[in-house]
Amino acid sequence: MIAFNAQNMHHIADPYELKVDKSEIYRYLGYYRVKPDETISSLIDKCLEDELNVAIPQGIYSIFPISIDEKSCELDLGFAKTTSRHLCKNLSGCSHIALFAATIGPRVDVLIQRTSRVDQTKAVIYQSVGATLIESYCDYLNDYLRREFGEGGYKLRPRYSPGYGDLSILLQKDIFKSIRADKTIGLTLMDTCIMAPSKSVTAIIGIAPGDAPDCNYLPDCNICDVCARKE
Amino acid sequence: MKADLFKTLQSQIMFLDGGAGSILQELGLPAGVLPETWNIDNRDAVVALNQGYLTAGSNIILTNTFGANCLKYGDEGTYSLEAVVNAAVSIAKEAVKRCEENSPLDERLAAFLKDSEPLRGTPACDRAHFVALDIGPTGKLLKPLGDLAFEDAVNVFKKTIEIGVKAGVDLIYIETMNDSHEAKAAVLAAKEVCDLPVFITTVYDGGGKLLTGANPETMVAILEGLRVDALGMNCSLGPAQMMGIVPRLAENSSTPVIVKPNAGLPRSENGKTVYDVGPDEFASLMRQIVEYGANIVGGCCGTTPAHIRALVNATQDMAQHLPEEKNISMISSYTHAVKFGRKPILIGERINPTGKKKFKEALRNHDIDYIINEGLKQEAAGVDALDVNVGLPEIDEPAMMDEVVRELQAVLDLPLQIDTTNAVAMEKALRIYNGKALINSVNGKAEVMAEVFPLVRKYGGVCVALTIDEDGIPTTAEGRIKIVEKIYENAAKYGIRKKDIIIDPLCMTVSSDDQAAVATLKALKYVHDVLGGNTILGVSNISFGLPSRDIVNGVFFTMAMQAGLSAAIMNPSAVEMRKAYTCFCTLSGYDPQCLGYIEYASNLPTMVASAPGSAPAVAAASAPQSSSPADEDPLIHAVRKGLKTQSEEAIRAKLNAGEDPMLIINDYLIKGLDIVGKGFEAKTVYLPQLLMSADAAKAAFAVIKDHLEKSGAAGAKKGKIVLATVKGDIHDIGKNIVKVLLENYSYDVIDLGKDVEPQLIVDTVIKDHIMLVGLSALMTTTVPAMEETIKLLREQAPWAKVCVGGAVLTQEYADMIGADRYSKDAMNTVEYAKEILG
Repeated sequence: MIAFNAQNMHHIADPYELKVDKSEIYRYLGYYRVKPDETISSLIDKCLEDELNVAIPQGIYSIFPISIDEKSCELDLGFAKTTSRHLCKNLSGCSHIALFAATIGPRVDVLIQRTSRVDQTKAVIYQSVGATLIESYCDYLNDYLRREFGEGGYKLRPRYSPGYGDLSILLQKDIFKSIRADKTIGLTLMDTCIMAPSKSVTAIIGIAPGDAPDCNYLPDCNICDVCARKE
Repeated sequence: MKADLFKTLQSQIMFLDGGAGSILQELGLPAGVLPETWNIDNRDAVVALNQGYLTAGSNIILTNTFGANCLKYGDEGTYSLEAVVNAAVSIAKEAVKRCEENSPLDERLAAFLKDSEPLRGTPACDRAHFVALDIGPTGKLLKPLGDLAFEDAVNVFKKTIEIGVKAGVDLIYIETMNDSHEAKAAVLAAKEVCDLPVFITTVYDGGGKLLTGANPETMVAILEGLRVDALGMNCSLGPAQMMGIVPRLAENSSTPVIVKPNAGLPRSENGKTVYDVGPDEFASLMRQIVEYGANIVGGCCGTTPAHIRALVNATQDMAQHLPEEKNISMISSYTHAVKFGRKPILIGERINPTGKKKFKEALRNHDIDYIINEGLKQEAAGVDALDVNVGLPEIDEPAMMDEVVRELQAVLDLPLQIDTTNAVAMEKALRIYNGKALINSVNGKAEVMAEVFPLVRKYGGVCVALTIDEDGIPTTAEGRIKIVEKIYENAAKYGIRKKDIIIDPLCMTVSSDDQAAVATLKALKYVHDVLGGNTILGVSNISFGLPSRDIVNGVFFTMAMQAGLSAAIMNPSAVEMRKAYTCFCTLSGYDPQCLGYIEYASNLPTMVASAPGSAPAVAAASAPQSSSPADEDPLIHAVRKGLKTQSEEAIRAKLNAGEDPMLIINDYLIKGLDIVGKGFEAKTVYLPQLLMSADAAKAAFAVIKDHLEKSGAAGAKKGKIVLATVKGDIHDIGKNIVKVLLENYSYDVIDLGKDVEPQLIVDTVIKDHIMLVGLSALMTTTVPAMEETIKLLREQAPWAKVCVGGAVLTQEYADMIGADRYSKDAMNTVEYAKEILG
């Protein structure tokens, strides 16, 4: 049975089980299509190890039925209503969404804050490792959902976060009202819509019947994570 | 009611209730609806929930107020905080009344108990019942991790507690705390609002730590210091996973222990969260937990009245293990506790201006980085705790103490010793400190005890007590012991136990009194052997006025440790004292397999030979490439390659050869940095390399600065720049990079940190008539704060140029908010600084 009524499901992963793509860390550090030299890459390995030691990857998700008015680009996401041309396209053909929040926890922030006092090089590397780890964990969680819904013949769209394209960052307020991220995974939202701990992601994943066409990106929407990585 | 609660606690295992959220959902609470609104919209369901647990056998029920705080509920309207909390308390009282009158239980709740055995022993209606005001976390992270200030957190908790107390609850139950600092804020709020009993449970992960890092010993230290009435754990884990953590609480706590686990670990089944531990298994695991020393038990997520019924039936007749008074003296940071009484504890003394010219200067210039670095250096040298003294007549000591404690605990996880004679500074530090502090100090003077002991009583802490009183320092051991006894006695009047007092029998210099060491050691030994107390000494005072002091200090330290010394306040890089300490530990059986000594000894030659500031691993890894090509200057090469040690050596060589420091800076250091900077712009050099070069250059600058100071010349700075991450934003990595590079180019950077109030930035600019301000923001939502800052600057400091940067910024944005310059990266900011300041 497909879990279309799932609410506030807690998910947790062993950081060592995550597939960490080192080229992503390099990319965050500004290495485009080049590998860092031996000194830097061994430093990166060391920083990755340190951070895996303190990361606690956790997520929480709920499933909502949605309705889309493709003309006006108005969306009823089940937990909030919004208007977004980009998200409309991303979700076209979907009947439901999975709304999730994920974080690798506050100890990573403590590590970065501490290091930024003494060694900027390492602080910047920890920062990039953290950004990579949270994305790896999102992939891990999304794979899990993909399997869960795939068995019932559904396909999942690439995740889409508030702040991507024309989707308002203010949607964060509705997301945090809707799922109990603070209680379950210790993820909070600041008044400025910045999340704390900082290495965290919230996103919407469209769930479409297996025979629905794939999502239909707008040419000016290259912010979505999947497309950005294809670049 | 209070006496009754404690009496009940003395006579039986007490039972809490079980899960609430999942049951309310089964009763129809829709997803996304705040559960507390049902206190008003669906009162009967909440009464049924509470009564269901009372029927199951609970003694203490929690009001439906987990999320009831002023951040989620306003002052007015149907769902005002007051309305929601008042309703919750009256519901709980009604449930108690219904239970005690044997009124029928709502059939939806009764259904949970249909397969349960009847309650054995005393009928539910005749059991002792208490209504606890449930206080959950605020839903915000405290600064510096999030945006909620500690004092604001205290006030958020106070508002809810004030309403609950007025409505007539019997106790305050704080639960599901993920963060030790927030837990402290909640307990302080409860204590400042009422005299009701305070129970608290925090959330541990499978590794036995809170999300922000505290282990069970730490939480015992902090919470007992704050004088809670019961402490323990709830949520996240099932009873099996809690099994390893309960003994750690029970072995350290003199306070009753609470255990309130989930019904196992959650998994998803057909879109529902289900827990796999049923009532009987839950109850049988809980028997073991009671055996380990839990005194108050219940359930959390996934548990139902059936779990509680099974738990009560299985454990109510077990022998209760009431906690004994544990004679454990401990202090803690926010991650770990340090215990006194076995291996001597080392407390680093370097964060103290006394006799330190540079430190005084740092305090006057508000150079927090310098102070933090003193802490980091001592941590690296292996101290167990850090003394913090920031007293200078010309500075605002309470404000400085408050700031330094916040900054230190954001960076370091060593316990702190709050060292001040200023009671206001002491209270500020103890209040904000995220741990149980060492307090330095109290003494035998009535006035001082009356000032310090109430603070120890309120905030907790282990207090250093000096053997001095109104008549001065007795020369004899007997005189000092009299003062010790007086202090113990006086502390007891405040409920402060001997274990939370650590006696400093004071060492006077042996050069002015040749019996000084004898008297100190005699008093020390008496306190240790006869009174069973802990002791501490500032060891190096003994040798004041003598030549080669380190030798005397080392031997005296050994003698003191042999006499039972529990802790020493010392300079961790003092060679003879380290030697004495290491050998003493090895010879006293505190050094398993002599590993500590072997490590110490193997580092000995380099320790003696090497200058301070040894090479980091990075430089070592790059060593093979360190020899510079024949056509490149060694200093430029070292900076370009980011080799810290080599750049220091190269610059020393130039200074020794008599080259002019200013020419060295311009011709080599800046040149090297420029090469790297241009490479960065051309994308042949990457960010980590740029920063390694910056670090290497910084190390070289430090050598020049030292040289200039010794020769009496002032270091030439090119002008002051203020940097800040704007209000509401906590991301400061970009700003930090800009700072390092600007400093490399000899600009004097005033770093105001992150989440900075606009007016503070403006005031700083006005004070020193600063010409350039750099502002950083991460997101569109914090750009308005940037805009506001610029607007204020234009009004009040129109001379200042403003440069902006950060992930979200573009030229267009920068123009829109009226900035003078948009800098896409750190090098670009340096270019702009050159344009404005030269």
